[in-house]
Amino acid sequence: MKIRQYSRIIGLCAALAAGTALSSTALAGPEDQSITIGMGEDFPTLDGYINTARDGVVMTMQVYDNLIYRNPKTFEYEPLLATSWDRIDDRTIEFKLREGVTFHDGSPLTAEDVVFTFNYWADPANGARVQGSVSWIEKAEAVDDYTVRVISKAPAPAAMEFIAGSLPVYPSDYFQQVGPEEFGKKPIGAGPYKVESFGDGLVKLVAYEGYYEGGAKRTPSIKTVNWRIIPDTATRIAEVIGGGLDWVWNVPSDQVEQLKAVPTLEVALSSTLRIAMVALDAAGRTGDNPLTDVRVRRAVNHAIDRDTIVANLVGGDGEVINAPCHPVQFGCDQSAAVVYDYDPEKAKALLAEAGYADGFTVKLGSYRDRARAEAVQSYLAAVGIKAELEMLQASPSFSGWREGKVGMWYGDWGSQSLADSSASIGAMFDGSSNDGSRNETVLELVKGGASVMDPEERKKKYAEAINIITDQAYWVPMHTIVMGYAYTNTLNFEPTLDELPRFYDASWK
Amino acid sequence: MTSQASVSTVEVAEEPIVKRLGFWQKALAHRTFVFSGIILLAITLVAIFAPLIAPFDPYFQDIASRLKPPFWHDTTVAEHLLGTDQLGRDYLSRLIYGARISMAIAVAATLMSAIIGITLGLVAGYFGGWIDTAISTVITTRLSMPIILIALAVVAIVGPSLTVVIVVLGLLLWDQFAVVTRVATQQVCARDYVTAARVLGSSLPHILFKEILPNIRAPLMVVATVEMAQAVLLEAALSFLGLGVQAPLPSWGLMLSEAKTSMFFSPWLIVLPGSCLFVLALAINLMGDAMRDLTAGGRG
Amino acid sequence: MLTYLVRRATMAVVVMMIVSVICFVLSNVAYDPAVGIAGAQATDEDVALIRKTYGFDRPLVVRFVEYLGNIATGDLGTSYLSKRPVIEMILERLPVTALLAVLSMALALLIALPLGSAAALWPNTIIDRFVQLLAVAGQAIPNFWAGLLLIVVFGVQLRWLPISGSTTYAHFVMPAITLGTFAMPPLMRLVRAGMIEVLASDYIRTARAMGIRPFQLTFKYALKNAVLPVISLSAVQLGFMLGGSIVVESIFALNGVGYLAWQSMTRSDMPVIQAIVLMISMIYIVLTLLADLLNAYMDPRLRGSRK
Repeated sequence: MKIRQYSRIIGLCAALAAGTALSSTALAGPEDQSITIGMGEDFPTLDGYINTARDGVVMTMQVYDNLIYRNPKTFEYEPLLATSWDRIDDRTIEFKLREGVTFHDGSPLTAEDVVFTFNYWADPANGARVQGSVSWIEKAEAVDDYTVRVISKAPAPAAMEFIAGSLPVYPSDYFQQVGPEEFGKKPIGAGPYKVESFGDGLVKLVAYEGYYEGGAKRTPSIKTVNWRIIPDTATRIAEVIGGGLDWVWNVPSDQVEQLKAVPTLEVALSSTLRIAMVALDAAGRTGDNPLTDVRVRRAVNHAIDRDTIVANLVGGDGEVINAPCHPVQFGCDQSAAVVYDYDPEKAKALLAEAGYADGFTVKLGSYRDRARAEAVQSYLAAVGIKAELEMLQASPSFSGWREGKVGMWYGDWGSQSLADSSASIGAMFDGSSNDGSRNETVLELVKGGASVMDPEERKKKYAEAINIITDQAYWVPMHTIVMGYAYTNTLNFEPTLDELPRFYDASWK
Repeated sequence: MTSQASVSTVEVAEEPIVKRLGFWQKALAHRTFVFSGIILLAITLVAIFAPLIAPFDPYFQDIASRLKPPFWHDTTVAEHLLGTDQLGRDYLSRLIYGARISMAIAVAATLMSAIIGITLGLVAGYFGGWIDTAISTVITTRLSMPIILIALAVVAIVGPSLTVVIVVLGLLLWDQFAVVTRVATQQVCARDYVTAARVLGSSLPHILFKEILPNIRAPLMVVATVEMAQAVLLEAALSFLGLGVQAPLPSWGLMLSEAKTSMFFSPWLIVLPGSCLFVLALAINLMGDAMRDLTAGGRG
Repeated sequence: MLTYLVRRATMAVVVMMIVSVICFVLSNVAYDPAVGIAGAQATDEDVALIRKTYGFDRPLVVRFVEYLGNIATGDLGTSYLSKRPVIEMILERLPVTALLAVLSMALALLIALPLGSAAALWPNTIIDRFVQLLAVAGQAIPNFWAGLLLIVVFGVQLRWLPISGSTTYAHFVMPAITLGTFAMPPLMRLVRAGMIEVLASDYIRTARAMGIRPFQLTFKYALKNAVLPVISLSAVQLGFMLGGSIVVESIFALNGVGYLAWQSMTRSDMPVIQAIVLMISMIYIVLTLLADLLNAYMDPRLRGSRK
């Protein structure tokens, strides 16, 4: 196979270069315990409540600590800033804080910091980007210096998920002193890494020497993380082959297969909690359009050959999904879904029935993978739907869907890495701008699912929601996303299901 | 990505009038002219007869047989001479249809800018005075604005499509036409036959289009080639940046953008469309050089 | 001389005015600034409120005058996305782009001057043909394609050069080659044409008759005289290159102005786009003005005859 031969040539060159140290590119490496990584998204701020795109959540993971930590393998909660916790009643959880923890500026962590952070962001006026992860909080209050109670507005079964996943604790004094904007530029947290500099396409993280022992996160072995922002996937791949970067992700599965042949690299295709969908504008946000007709939406479902896309363009353990949530999420009952098989003839018939025998034109927004998006475009064209493809970077593309600028959005959703349907169905069908359907019954069910404590009851509600959503074909549920990684083979690194690379856990061999 | 020649470097031949027969005789003996002419003719024919030549439907995807290598690799799938792309579409067919898009844009945009530029140049050169000053200001303004930035900004507002690309390029590439026409008109106007026509009471359009225009044809043909090559490369750059021709149309620039992430292991995916662009732009530029040679009375 | 200077400067000012009108239209008419400021999740009432508080409901003429005033005081607006002053964002990134442009220009001149001269010294020989072919080829290469090929060959296969970023001078080698290739052909043609003209002139012929060695003749006398138009074209090209940097910077992830422009385009951040267009045009206008004045100063014959 010729491809192999090419890979071998590249590999040989890479080996030669590594041997003769011709490469002057990497900022450093094992010698000074630093790592240079390539990320795709630019940050407007480093505030963990605003910077909630995937790369931002990863950043938050390194710089800030939450009260508790969710183990990505066992899905158990483990102590972080809090050493123990208790459910006092349906609405109240009490946390005992770890003593002797300091923020990056040396100030000690007390209950006051937690109370301030939670109360500040629970106020919708302060503009937390994902309101769903804070809106359930009624208030937080300090019992004493090291005891905090978090009280929810209604019973909140997913409260612990949010506390572990999306509520970093800020130093109250510093935050109030500099204000939210300055904080976003020079953030201070209690996490394993502190931000040394931020700007010019580079965020430099250095290990915080005062980081506490005994929490679920390790004191970093790698002392410096040079976080380079390189939006172009091809450039990132070139850099990791060329040795300019030690670690990249979001590598398309094709390239992962081929990068295996490069002797200096280790690759991985790792499952995630992320699901991809073609969301359809059923509520008519783009104006009166054919997608408001359920027959058209069902036709779209029948038109796309998801099995072929998954088998050839997703790779790894990627699988077709039928429900609008990830199979491992609590409450995601795939059997409750109405399944549409690939049947272009039926699609055409449905379109004709709806009065669109000649098809129609619609805007299709997408990001992440151009080949997959063009494949969908081509399947739609085969039944007469002319989709104008708009490939953008992640956040402008998502905005395009939320602002109702595109009728179809082939996007994906990572559920904030939470293994609960409240973070998928509950975030995409909640009447917010994510929600392109605005179905009242679903809204009620989703609200119920997020506030009822009984697991069986919750399962039932989500199953019903799944049934309605798929019956009404508000989405084409596509597939799970497989994350492709490529990194220097002298690096110890383990991808996790929650798509949150932990650089404090990585080390040089 | 911007105009190569500036105002200060335009050379207008003093005696561009070459007798037709003489021109063709000289041209056919001119190696560069013949060489570039053959290439351009070939590409034009391919573009026109694309549906007859292309072995496959350029939009037909067969995801299962994707990224197949071209014929010079030992494992080639015989029916796909130049292999397949990321979605299993026949690459040769896409390249053939790509010629259509490049040629269509080049010709349409150049024609549009020629009309705008020549009209402005004729008016400025013929009337002189404040009209000339006003039009010169417009020309200078156009020259001072970076083409690719303006084109991208407009496309970002209006939304990208084939028509938008043609119109935007047509509205941006007229400057050299205007500059050359203006200077040439000034020179021609000073000659006797124009004065004679004026005295005889010929109508203005007659003087402009019948007396003046035919006499500045030669330098304008040279400008046309420069602008055509520009239009080809600009379209490719816009499409490459995602703000030009949109998928699934097989524009060469867009094909490069689609193949970017695969270029390390399937290099033909970027070598082929890039070479097509290069050859087309090269042929147009060589043709321009040849015409400059042929019409400049043996200069250079 | 004075009349020429005044006329030339007046023209520059008028052109600047027209450019600012276009930029104003771009950011205030073609795209509703109230919607841009209000952002993604705004309601119609929000937009209406912003329109009122920011004064976007006033007549366009009033707003344009205000816009001009702002430009004059260095206020180019505020980004919709980062909420930062645009001028700050541009100034932060200008050094990278300026360095790229200067290096590319230096590279282009380094190739154009000797090769162009050589072609002029031995016209219609194999050297001349080679130089002309090089010029045509340089003009026909799509520069983003050249950039990709350089990355594959020198960055990935040979690993000689760093691929992206702007931390060391080595990082500028491939971008400068890419952009320089695009600036080189017209310079080379101009050097060749200028040299041929100078070499044919009376005083060179006199010098030759006096027995001055050809080498000395070429570089001491002829090139000095042929270089004048090259300087002015260089200024013009430098302005163009700021525009061309958008493609190059996006390929090599250089964090410069061109890259900022591209990012802003994909997010419809009009204040940034408008400001970059304005700034690059202004730089171009000033550069060409300087080039023309320099030309006029060095060559008295030009003073009267040119516009």
